[in-house]
Amino acid sequence: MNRITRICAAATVVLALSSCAEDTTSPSLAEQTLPADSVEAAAAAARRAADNAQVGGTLNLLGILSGDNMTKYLQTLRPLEEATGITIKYETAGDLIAVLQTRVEGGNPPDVVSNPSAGQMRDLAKKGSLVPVDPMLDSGAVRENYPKGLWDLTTVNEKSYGLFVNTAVQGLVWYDPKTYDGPKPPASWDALGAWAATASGKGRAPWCMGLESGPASGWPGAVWIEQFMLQRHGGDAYDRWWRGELPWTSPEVRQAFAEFGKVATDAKMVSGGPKGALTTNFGDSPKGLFAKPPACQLHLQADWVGNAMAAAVPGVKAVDDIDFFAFPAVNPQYAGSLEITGEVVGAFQDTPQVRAFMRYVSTPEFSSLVAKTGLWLGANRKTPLTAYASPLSRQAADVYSKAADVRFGAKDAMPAAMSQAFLKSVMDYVRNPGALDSILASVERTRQPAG
Amino acid sequence: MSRQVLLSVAVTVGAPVVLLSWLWLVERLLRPLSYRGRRRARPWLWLAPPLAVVGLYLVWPLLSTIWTSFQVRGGQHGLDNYRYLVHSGEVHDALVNNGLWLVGLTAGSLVAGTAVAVLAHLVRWETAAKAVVVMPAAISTVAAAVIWRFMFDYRPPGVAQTGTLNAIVTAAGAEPVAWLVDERTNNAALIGVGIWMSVGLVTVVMSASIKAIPAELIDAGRVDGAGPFRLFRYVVLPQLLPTIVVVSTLLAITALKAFDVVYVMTNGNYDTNVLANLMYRELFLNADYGRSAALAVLLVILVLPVVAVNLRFFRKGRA
Repeated sequence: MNRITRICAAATVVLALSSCAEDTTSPSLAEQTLPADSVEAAAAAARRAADNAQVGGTLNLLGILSGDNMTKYLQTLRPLEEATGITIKYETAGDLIAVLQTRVEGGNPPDVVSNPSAGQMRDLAKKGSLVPVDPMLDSGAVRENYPKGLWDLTTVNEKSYGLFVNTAVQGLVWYDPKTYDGPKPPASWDALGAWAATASGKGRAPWCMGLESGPASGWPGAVWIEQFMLQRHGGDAYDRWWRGELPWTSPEVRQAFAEFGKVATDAKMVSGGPKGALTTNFGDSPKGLFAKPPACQLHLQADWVGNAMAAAVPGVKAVDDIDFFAFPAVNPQYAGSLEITGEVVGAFQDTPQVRAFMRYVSTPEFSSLVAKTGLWLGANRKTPLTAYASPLSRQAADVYSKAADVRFGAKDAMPAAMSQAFLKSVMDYVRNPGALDSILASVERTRQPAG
Repeated sequence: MSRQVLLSVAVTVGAPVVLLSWLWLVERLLRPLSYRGRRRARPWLWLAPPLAVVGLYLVWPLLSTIWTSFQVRGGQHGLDNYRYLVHSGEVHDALVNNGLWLVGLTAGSLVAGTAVAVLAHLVRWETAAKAVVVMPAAISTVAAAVIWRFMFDYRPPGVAQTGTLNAIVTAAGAEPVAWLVDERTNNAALIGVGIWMSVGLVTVVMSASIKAIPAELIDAGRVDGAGPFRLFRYVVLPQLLPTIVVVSTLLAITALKAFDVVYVMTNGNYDTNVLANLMYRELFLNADYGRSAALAVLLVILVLPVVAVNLRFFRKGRA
C-alpha cells in the first residue's frame, strides 16, 4: 500500500510540474523551523481538539501544494500529529479540481481536501459529497472568528461544509522603494494612472505582468479584473458577478476588462508589451522590478510575493527593496474593498481523525502557526498581529484587518467551469483586445448561477 | 506485504492453470462433435475468454459512452450534445487543429523517421545515429512538453533570450518570436514536439522493415542499372509499404488523441485547442458527462476510417 502511494505521489509530482500555481518560494523559507513556543501552544490546542485522546490512525489529505510550500503547510499540522498520534498523509495534486472530481466520482475521495476553489467545494456540498463541519466544531464560538463572507461561501442549506485555513490578500501593488518614484500610496487609481502615463511617456513601462501559469494561465489577469469589478462597481455587483447573476456581457464586466486592458494590452504600459505579459510566468514577472535597469516599477500580486522575491532574488530584502501599498481606490464609494483568496478544508467523512483535524485547524493557535510561516495569513480573526514574524506579512494582515469590505476571489468562488472560461478569456483578450465583445459573449455561454 | 506476494504468486500460477483448464474443458466438450464441427467451434471457444475480457474492457465502455452521450445535463436524454458538436465554434476550431495534427504529425514523423532509418542503414554509426533519434520516445510527454516550453521561451526584444530557439533567432539578427502565442507558429510548434516524440518509434519500425528487405532484390535492382533514388523509389519503398500503412495508422490515431502536449504547453489557448482537451475540460472541470461522451464518440468516429483503411489494406494483401 505504502509503495503504491509513493508511486502515485511521484506521478502527481510530474503532473504538478505543469501547474504549480503558487509555488515560488526558495529553500531558505522552508529551512526555517517554526518557533518552539508557538508550536507548543498549537500542540496544547491540538490536545484539547482531540479531548486529550490518543486518536491514532491516518488521515488522507489532498491538496495543491508541493515543494517548500507543502513542507511549511505540513509544519503547521505537525503539532496535531504529535499530540494525537494521527498520521497525516498529504497527497499533492497540481491539477486539484480534476483530481478531486475524479476521485469523488470514483467513490474514492480523500478524508479531507484543502482546496483553493471554494466554488468547487460548494458544488460538492450541493451534490452531497461533503459532510458538514458544524457538528464537529464548537460552532457559535468558531463562527465569530471568521469573516461572514467566508462562511457564506461554504454554507449550503444553512450547513457549513468548509473551514478556511490560510488566506492571501490579493491585488497588492508591489514596488522597489529604491527605484519607484511615484506616489506611495497614491490617493486614487486615477492619481496612479496619471503618474503611470507620465512614466510611460518617458519611454519607461510602469508595470510588469506575468500571466503564464501552465493550464491555469491567466489568473494574475483575473485578479486585475476582479480588482476593477470590486473597486469600481462595489461588493454587491462583484458577488452577483461570480454567482452568475450578472451577465458577462454587462457594462460593468466589460468596463472591468477594459480598465485591465488599458494596462495589459498597451505596449507602453506593460513591460514587454502584451506579448511579454502573455508569455512571462507569474513567478518571473516580479523579478522585473529588480532588473538592471528596472524593467518596470510596479507589479500587482498577492501578499506572498514580497517574501518570495526576498528569498529568490539575491540582494533583495523585504521592506528595504520590496514593499507594497493596497490597490488604490478606483471609486471613492468603495474605497478600502479588499479581495482575498485561500484554501478551504472540507471533509468527505466523519471520523475521529477528521473531527480532531477540523477542531484543531479552527483554533487561533493553529492560525498563529500559519501566520508564523510567512507564506500565508491566518484565516482566523483571533490571529494576533504579533504572530506575523515577517514585517510584510504583518503589514498585509494589518490591511486585511482594517479593510472596509472583504470579498473572496471571484475566480475561485465561481463554479470550476466558469472559472476556467474566465481565465481563458483573459488570455484571449490580451492577445486580441479588439475582440472583447465576442470573447465576453463566449464566456457568457458558460454562465450558470452558483446557487 | 506478504498479502501482495501471495496475490502475485496466485495470479502468476492461477491464470495459466485456469486457462489450461478452460482449454481442457473445451476439448472435453468438443469430443462428441464431428471433425468439421470441432474445427468450426474450436477457435471461438478457445478465443472466448480473451473476447469476454475485451468485451468487458472495451465494448461495454464504448456502448455506455454512446449511451451517456445522449444524456443532457439535468437528467433527460436528447440530442443536445450532438447539437453542441455541430454548432459550437470551439469544436470546429478543435477539429481544424486536429486536422493539422493529423496531417502534420503523420507526414512529419513518417518522412523524418523513414529518412533516418534509410540513411542510418547506409552509415557505420547506425546504432548511435538511431539512438539519438529514438531517445525522446523514452521521455514522458509531460516532461517533453516542459522541456520544449524552455526551448520556445520568449522574452521581449532587447532582453536576453532564455529560450534556445529565440536565442538562435536573435543571434541571427531577427526579432524574437512568441512561438506558442503567435497563431502562425503555435500549432506547428506543438506538432513539432509531437513529431520529436514519435519519430523514434517510426525509425525503429522502419529500420526493422528495411533490414527485412532481401538483399537479392537490391542487388537485382543494381544489376539492372538503378541509381540510389530509383532503387529507393521502385525497390525499397514498395517493400516498405505495409509497414508505412501500419505506422501511419498509429500516427494518425496519436494525432487524433493529441492531448498532453497541448494541455501542458498552451492548454488550448491562442487557437491551439484539440478535441481531447475539450473532452478533458467537459469531463473533469465542467462535470458534463454527456457532452464529454459526445466528444469521445466524435473521436471514435474520426478514428474509424483510419482503422478501416488499415484493415482493407491487409485484407487485400492477403487475398
